[in-house]
Amino acid sequence: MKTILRTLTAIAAFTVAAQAGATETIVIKGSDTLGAKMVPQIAEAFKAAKAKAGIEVAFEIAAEGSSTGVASVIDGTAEIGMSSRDPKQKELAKAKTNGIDMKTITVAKDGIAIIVNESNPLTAISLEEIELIFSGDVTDWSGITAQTGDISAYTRNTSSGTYAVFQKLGMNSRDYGSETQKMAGNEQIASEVAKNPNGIGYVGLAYIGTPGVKVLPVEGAAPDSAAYPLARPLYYLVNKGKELTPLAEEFINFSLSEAGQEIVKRVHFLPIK
Amino acid sequence: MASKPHHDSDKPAFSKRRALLFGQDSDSIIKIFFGSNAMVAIVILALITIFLFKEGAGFAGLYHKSLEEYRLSGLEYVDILKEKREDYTELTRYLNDVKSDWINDLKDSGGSQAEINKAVFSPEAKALFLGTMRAGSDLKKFVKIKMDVAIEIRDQNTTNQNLLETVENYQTRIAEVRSEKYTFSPEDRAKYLLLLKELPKTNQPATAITADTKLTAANREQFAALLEVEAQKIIANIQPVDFSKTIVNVTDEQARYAQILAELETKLTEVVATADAIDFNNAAIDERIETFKSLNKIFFANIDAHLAKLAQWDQNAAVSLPQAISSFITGKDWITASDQQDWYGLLPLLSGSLLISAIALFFAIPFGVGAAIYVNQIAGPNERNFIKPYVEFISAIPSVVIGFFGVVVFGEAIRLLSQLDALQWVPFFPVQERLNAFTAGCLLALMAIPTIFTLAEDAINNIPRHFKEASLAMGATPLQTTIRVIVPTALSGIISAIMLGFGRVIGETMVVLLCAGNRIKIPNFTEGLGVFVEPVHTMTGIIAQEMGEVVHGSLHYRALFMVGIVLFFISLLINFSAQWVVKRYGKLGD
Repeated sequence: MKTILRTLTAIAAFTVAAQAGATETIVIKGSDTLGAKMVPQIAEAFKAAKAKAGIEVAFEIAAEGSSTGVASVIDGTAEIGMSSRDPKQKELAKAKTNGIDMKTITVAKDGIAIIVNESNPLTAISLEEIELIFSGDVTDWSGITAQTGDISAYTRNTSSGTYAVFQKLGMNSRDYGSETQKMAGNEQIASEVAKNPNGIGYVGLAYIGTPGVKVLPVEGAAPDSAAYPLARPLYYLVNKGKELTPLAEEFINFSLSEAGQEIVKRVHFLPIK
Repeated sequence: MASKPHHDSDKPAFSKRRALLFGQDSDSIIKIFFGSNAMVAIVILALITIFLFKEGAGFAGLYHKSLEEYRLSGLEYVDILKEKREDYTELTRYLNDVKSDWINDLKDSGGSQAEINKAVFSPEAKALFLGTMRAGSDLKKFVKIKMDVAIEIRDQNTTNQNLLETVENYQTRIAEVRSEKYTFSPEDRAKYLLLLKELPKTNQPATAITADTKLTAANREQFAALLEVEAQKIIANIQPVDFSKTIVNVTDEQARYAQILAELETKLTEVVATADAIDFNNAAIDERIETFKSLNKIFFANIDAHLAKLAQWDQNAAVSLPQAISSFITGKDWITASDQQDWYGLLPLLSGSLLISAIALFFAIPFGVGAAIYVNQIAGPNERNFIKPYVEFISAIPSVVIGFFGVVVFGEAIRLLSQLDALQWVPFFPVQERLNAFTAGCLLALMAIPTIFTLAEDAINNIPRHFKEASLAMGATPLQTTIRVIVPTALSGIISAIMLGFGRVIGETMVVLLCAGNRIKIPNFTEGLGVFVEPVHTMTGIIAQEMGEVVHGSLHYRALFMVGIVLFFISLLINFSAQWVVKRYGKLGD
């Protein structure tokens, strides 16, 4: 689906570019957490704002995972990368090798919500319990609550930034238990949990409205509160060594502006201010 | 009139005169065209094979190095520590299982949720269940601390290697810049400007350099010097790791560890004693509590052997290359993107692929072969003209469509069906996961049927007519003829059709990725038939899921290619044996 999206945006960008010769394109690649809704919507708003001033802007947004965001900034195929995690040491070293200094710009914060099926009697969960469940120490609900049944723990897959961040924030950096199931994306996790009374999973805040699921406060804090322990920053990645085009620079500033942060809120992320 | 020779009939059917192109007539041009097409196909196939092996070849070396680091940094030692933690977790899991039996028992005997809660959260019950869970917190903490130490050592070592590589790159770059032939590339110019920006004012060149300024030899020299400074900074960052010294931080405190385990023993003994205070009111559960007690005793009895194993662990034992390869082929874990240690074990993926294939063939063989026999031997011409194209049409459905159908309709239907009270006698019902091996297997069966059907039908069709006629002439009925003569004669062809169907199934990616549930674990075959509804992961699925994101040339990347090579060999073997069966047994009829 991502490829389809990418092709479509590419085609759209292409046709727009073909119509007006002066159109400038901004290429953005990386995390699907940012690229699914937030960045495309900011891009739309930015495009509209620019169109008023008579400037045509086109976007090519490819959301394929944080690793691609870092990689494409390193090899220069994208002007702006998107990442839902800090760049890894290995990636920074690789960037350095290619003479690139990676710079991260925080545009929003994302809470990772713990969801269970709405029939689950749990009303809150602690970090310790999260670790027990996802590391496979507890495989039956009776270990946590007074209900029984095998726990079906749904996780993202290894290429997702959320996968690694959750490991760090929620599981004390332990490995995922071998009972966990690696799903293709947020949507699949939400729909499996909604259908499975013994399911538990984690998703981005944009998906907590899925019918049939219930969001659990972690350590007593709801996902939108400041004390929520499972929140992480979302980044734009740029190459510090190369001057950004004025348009890209403007786009980043627009994302950080009040109008941009309003969109951030609208797509269920936490604004940075 | 009749004797008059007929001119037209003397003419050859084809004209002798041929157009010439580059001195070749059309016959040889066509020959060259087809010959070269075949040649290109062979060359491309060879190139793909070579590429596959070239990319996979580095795996053994890299994995060997990773395993060596695993041992040198002490992570292996930590994994031995983790064994005991895992044993302890196993104990708590067992007790949890008893608890869930207890809750179910209370439910069955008509207790309300409030009563159940009261029993399960009573002080005695908490003392036992929570007490067991908490008893090991010191052990867990100890293992975690040691693990962090070992990880830090390993990461420092990795960072050093990366930095060294960076320095090397700087060195070659500096040498390039210093050589006379060098001209500034746009990237280098940008880099130079950036470095200049960070310099104090006094060191700036006299005239400000902009994007258009022509850069001179002096600039070149300054650029090289600036790069040199950067390289030196990186070198200063390298903190050499001496594994023989760092290991002490991991392996020390063995006495304290022994003490922690001894404390755990006292705590658990105390906690288990509280079990007698709870009235389970059920003989089976009482018995399981007794088993739990004896399991605890085994756990305590093994402490000494565990400590001895720790004491004997040798940091400097060599890891051989064959060991690295065998830990790929016989490895039971596929763990990637881990903070601790990445494991690339084939078995969970291989067993998942084979389980799904078995399910698919279980359904596809009767349907495919049966349909082939029916269409060829029993059906009338009208039926044949309808069934044959219809079955073959199935193979035209894109696999991703079948996959979506599986997720949205089929898997859900199976789960709803399995939850019907009337069907609870089926051994593995109710099914909890809608995405599992069975769902994927059934859909793959659908995709294998056309392959098996078409090839089996061909095989039956190839049986000489006189076989059937002779059989009928001997007085056999048509059904007897089909079962006793036609099918046995075509058996080699049918078997080869089944094998090619198997090849089709094991190589399929999209359906298993969407429908198999993607749990990387060897299916639990002790569950009997329940194993068929477990979520599994497959070899093709893992390549599709992880290949898009791995760093090019990394260990993970090569591991995925190794999985590809294994798939390649499996397909090769299947095709080879299919051909062998036809060759060996196919002559029976002649």
